[in-house]
Amino acid sequence: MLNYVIRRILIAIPVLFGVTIINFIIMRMAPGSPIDMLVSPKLPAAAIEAKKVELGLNSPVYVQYYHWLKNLVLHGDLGYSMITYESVTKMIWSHMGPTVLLMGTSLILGVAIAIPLGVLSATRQYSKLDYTAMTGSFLGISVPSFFLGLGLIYIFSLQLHWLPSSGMTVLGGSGGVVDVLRHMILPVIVLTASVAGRNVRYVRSSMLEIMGQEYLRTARAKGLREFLVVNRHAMRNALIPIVTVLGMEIPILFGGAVVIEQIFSWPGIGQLTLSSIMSRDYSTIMGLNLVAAFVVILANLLTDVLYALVDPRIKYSYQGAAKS
Amino acid sequence: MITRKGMKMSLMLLLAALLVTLTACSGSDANSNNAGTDSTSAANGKKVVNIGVTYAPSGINPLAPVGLVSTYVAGLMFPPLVELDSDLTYKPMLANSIETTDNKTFTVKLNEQAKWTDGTPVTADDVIFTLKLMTNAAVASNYAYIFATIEGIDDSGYLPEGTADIAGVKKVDEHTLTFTTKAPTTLNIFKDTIGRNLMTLPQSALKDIAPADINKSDFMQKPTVTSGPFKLTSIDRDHYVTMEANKDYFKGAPKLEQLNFKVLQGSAISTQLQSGEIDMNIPSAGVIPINDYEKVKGLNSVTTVDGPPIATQFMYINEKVVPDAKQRQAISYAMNRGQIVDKLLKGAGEVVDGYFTSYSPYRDETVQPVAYDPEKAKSLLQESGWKSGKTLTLSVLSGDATLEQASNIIAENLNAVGIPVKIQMLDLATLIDKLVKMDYDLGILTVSLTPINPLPDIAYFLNEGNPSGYKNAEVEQILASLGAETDEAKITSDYAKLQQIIAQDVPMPSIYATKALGAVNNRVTGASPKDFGMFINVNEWDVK
Repeated sequence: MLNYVIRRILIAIPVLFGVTIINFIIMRMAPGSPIDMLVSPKLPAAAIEAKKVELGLNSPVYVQYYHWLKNLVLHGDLGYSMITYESVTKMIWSHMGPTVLLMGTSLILGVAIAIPLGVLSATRQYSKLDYTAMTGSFLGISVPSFFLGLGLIYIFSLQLHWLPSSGMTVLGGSGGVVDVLRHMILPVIVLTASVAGRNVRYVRSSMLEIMGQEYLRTARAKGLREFLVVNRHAMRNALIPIVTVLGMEIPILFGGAVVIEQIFSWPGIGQLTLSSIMSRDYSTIMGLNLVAAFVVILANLLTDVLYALVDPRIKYSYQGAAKS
Repeated sequence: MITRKGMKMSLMLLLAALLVTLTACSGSDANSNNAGTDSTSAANGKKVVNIGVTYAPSGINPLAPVGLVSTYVAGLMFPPLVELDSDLTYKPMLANSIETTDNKTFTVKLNEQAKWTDGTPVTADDVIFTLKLMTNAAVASNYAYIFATIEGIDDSGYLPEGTADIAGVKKVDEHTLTFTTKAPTTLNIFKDTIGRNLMTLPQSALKDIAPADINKSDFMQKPTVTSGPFKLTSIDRDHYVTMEANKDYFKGAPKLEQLNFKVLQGSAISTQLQSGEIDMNIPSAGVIPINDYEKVKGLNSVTTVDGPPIATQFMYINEKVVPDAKQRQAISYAMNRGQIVDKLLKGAGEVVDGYFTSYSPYRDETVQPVAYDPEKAKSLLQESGWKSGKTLTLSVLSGDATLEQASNIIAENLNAVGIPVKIQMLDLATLIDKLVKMDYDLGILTVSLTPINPLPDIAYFLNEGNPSGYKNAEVEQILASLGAETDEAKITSDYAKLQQIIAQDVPMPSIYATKALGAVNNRVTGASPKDFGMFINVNEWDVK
């Protein structure tokens, strides 16, 4: 297993390298540059040139990429934002926490709702509960998150005055867990609704497939209680495909953060991504892209490792591959 | 069993990580129990005012602030010498007075009470030190060009390499200095350029940092020694700025304890004004969408102020595509600007034709915007021999719903007179790139000209190298003479002449100027939302 993980990590390095090159090329092909954002075109040509020199944009593109890569590999340094002059590493790091908090909570809550509900729906197919759960999940998938978000703000912030409509803490307040929790409620509801909505259906269909299997009939035949049949024998196999789906859920949440973070002014990575693209902040875009690629690769690796843990068949094939 | 344990373990780990993040994000104080949603008043009973803005304070470096909000935040920490108020007069900030007798030598007297937060006085040496940084090519400030008028600084705004001192700046005593300009200029223009844009930095805190490293220095991310009414406590460029009062502010300790800026979507401004999460906006930097005007005006807790028309939508015309002045006049006649202002802006704006809105002191009232006249447009096009074969692309800045709708009306209007137009929405960086490279047919972009000294912008729009490809020798001559003119009457008549010429040549017709709405919660006293001079009296703001 360790061999396998190491091999996967080694493969990830050229992938990340490729991603940065492609990103660099696409980014530089987009019209506009940070210079357009920083200096008015009415400035004398010498002043615009001075800014280019200062930002290192005067050298050829491949040289700029080389400098970026050299800094990253030798110093682990992602450089400075071309707009704010903040260290990119610091900027990403400080925005990562809020995003992970929001996404992690929503993912856990979403799964905590989806698995029991999916299992119940499957065991009681065509019951009232099943129909309700399926309608609910349908709504969770199909109601756009910005719409749900705005609706919740309207009800809970504007009409009832129960919850704040934006931010993560009261500005200038002392913060505190309660404060963060209050700000989290609405965005978490929106994200959880979509996570749970998507996954209830996966769990249900995967469970339904297993429920017809013969080994369950055997389990029942030997007199095992239905509770154990479902939760021990059926569920363990039904959840294997769910691991894959959840692995894909992490990058989806990471991307979906942009919309939710904007609606709720959540100080996370989503809005940073958007604004750095809008202002052509090359160094920040590169940093964020690297992090996003890293998250996707990590989520995939985690999925595969978990998969091997829950499915013994896969472990054997890894070992076989490792020997050869 | 192992599988189960493994899963449990990873779940536990995830939860633990989450908990750590949660506590890390929420700071050290765990016993906070904010109950009210009206967070502004609830933040520990402190006197706080929250200001909603729609532009991010991207860079608060006072040598090169990026955008309006950055400039406001920088100015609260490092007051400029003087500040422009909404009545278009200059109010003393760091300088008590700026005077001149010959329009070439300007004597600046600093406020002797002004102190840095480390207790040392703000001196003439600090001002000179800041000016040297500002004009250092290694700093590459986007504001350096403003200082090109000073003797000893080159035409791009940089102090020539190897020169230690700026010839045109002399220290008279600890709190007095003189500036000498290359050409005579009016006191107002001096105040508008150097007076407003030089935010003095502390020499003692910065003298050991190499100029090339100054932008990236920790100080510029979070200044530790300041002199203005508020000190920076934290900043997250896309979300908020929090500031606390500087009790030793030289114009009097602020009555508020905190001043915060919240970066919001336009639609959230009205929502949060209603919920009390923000107390006020900055009209042109915390833009309330026109569709929300009625709603905001109807809020009982809020007082609203109709701003003057400042931000103007200009139509850029590429003269390679539309070479004949008659054709450009036809575009002017074809646009139903009255309808846009009446129906779309619901009266919260005015029809403009040219560079001067009714707020400008230089507007020539004899030059009125041309009326909507599609027939006249058609006949002008016919006279000019216009062939309507090619469809022109109208590139429009995306993100402003009103502007998008207005562009649709204009495209319809132009189609109706025989100029086939299709709209292309572009983000700001792309649009600017296209305009500067003249890679466009028609374009619409918002521009705000400074009312007192519009010359730099107008010169850019009309001189050689402008984004329209316009050329007129007489215009260039007027612009050149305006650059060194000190007689206000002559300046006014020059600008009037300019307006008459461009009314004929139509290099860059404008469409409308919006009157941005300002709103302030009634619990705030002393504060008025306005685009110029809003923070001059910020130390007198209070909350009930």
